[in-house]
Amino acid sequence: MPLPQDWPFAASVVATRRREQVLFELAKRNKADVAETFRAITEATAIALDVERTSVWRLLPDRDAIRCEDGFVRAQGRHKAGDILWARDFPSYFSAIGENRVIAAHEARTDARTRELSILYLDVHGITSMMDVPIWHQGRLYGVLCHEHVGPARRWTTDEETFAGNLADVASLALEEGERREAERRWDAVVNTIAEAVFVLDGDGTIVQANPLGARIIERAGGGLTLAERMELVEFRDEHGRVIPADRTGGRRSLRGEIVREINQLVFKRTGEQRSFRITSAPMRNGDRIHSVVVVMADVTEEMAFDRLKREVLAALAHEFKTPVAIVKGYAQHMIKQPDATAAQRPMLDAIERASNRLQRLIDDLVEVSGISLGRLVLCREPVELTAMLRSVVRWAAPAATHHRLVVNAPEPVVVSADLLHLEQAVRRLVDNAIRYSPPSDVEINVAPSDKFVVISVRDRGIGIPADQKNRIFELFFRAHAGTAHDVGGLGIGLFLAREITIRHGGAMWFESEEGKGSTFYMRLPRAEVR
Amino acid sequence: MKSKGGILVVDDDPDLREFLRLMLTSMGFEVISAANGQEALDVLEGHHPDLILLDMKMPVMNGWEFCRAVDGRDACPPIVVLTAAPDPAARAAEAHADGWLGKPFEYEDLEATVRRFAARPAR
Repeated sequence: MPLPQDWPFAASVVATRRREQVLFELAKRNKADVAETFRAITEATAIALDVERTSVWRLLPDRDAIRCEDGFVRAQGRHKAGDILWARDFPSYFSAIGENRVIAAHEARTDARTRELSILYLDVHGITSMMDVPIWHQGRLYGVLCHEHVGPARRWTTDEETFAGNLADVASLALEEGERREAERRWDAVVNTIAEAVFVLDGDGTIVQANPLGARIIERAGGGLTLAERMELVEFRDEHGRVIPADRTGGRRSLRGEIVREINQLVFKRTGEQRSFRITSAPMRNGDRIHSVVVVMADVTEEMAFDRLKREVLAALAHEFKTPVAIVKGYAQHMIKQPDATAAQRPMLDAIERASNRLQRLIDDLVEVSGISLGRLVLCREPVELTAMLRSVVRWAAPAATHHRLVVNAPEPVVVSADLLHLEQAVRRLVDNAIRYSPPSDVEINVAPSDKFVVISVRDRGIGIPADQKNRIFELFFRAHAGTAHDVGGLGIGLFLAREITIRHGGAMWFESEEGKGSTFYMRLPRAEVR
Repeated sequence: MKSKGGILVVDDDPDLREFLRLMLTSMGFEVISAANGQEALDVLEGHHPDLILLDMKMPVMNGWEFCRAVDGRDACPPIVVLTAAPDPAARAAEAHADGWLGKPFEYEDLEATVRRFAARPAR
């Protein structure tokens, strides 16, 4: 068949079509496997541009060498990798690479940029013309895509340069994709090995993703991917055992924008099994729109059971202590009243009574702590006038405060809605501490009302709290001065209780303290309307 | 014909029973004691005390069971529960008792409570 007259043009059209086809094929590929994509690129460009040797070189982190990640030799049909070229051997070539532009060396042996490669590289492989295009990754030069022509020198056309540049872009995409896939793999490994169950819920509350632990929970429930199905199979209960309705579960609340952290009991209706989970759920946003929710669940059943056991034991112990103390104290009180008790016996009997009173207080503390932490504290709110309550606290403290002056500063009567007994208990603890941890001095009790709140503060001029212990001061059984010269005994319960009671009243407690100067404890209570 | 008067002390702790017997007799009362609810029911067969001081945690028959057993009986003496539970008033109300004393109690509280319900025998 005779060639058409304009055949060189036709040939270039065919070549262009073929290159477009190659690019299209490469673009369609799954590029997650970087090495695989590099192999496809070197082969494709070798054939499309009719080049003997093609390769991808990576600039090493110190930028003092390039390493061949994949090299294709057409005549052998083989790929090879691992060669390294050092910058110190080929400084001009490396500085040309550093300029991040295409190096099109038609005469590679004489081109200023590539001639230094002649003896060690070009001559060895019979290379006459070279074209290197930069490969970018994360806004930096990753390396070069090399075309090495063997045979009579050739002029690289602009089209060829453009095509090579396009292939370099495909390489960049592959690097990005590979990196993303790697990050995903790492993340998957994390999600699959953590001790928490992880779920992703869509806008309807349907579970669209779960890690293996999450899948196991779904299995245990016998299904429940959709919200309706889940509510059929699993009952959600809050910490107090109350059933949580479908629209109040953490997932639903997060869909409305809340970050929820709570402990739920899950009752798997299929088996009747009941377990406790610490559940965290958070909204996932796309701009302003919440499209899904991530829910993380940690099984805390054993932890909670042990905690409960500890507190039950505490409560039972305290209970068992009470009868013997009643007997000891009762007899002591009885004998003191007897007219025939001798002068020598009386101080002993007094000591027995005092000791049993102390025991009784400790037991009361334990009972109260275990009661509060078992959730048995029920507030009986009533209107409480604070000044009157504080005067009662002062009367209570007076016998112990023989060397202290207790001063109440209350500008006006302030009424709050509170459980008088417990609130007074809480303030007593603060005043008791102020007396016990200060030398003879004033203890000031101030009432500072504002619109919404009232702050009761108890200020002493005592030994203060060491700076390194400030953040533990409200912990149960923590005693700042334990084992020091200032150790005045006790269980380390008072501040824990005072704060718990304050919190249950919807308030807050904090303090300021300077060692050697004294401490001020603040109790803030909401000024709820009192009918 | 039942004998009448005095205070029935029901507690499984023999030392506390003895202590209460001593205290109450020193206040001038007559005291009968029982170690649990069942023994107390037996006592009630032949005697009608003015008051029952009742411990709640006891073996054989505890205080709640005892209260249920006598609840609704005609002419049952008033019951004051002795309890170490954190909220004695609520416990007493639950058991439909007439009063309560939290353990450990003060001598004065014991005397005041008992006097509300029981009269000293005339001599």
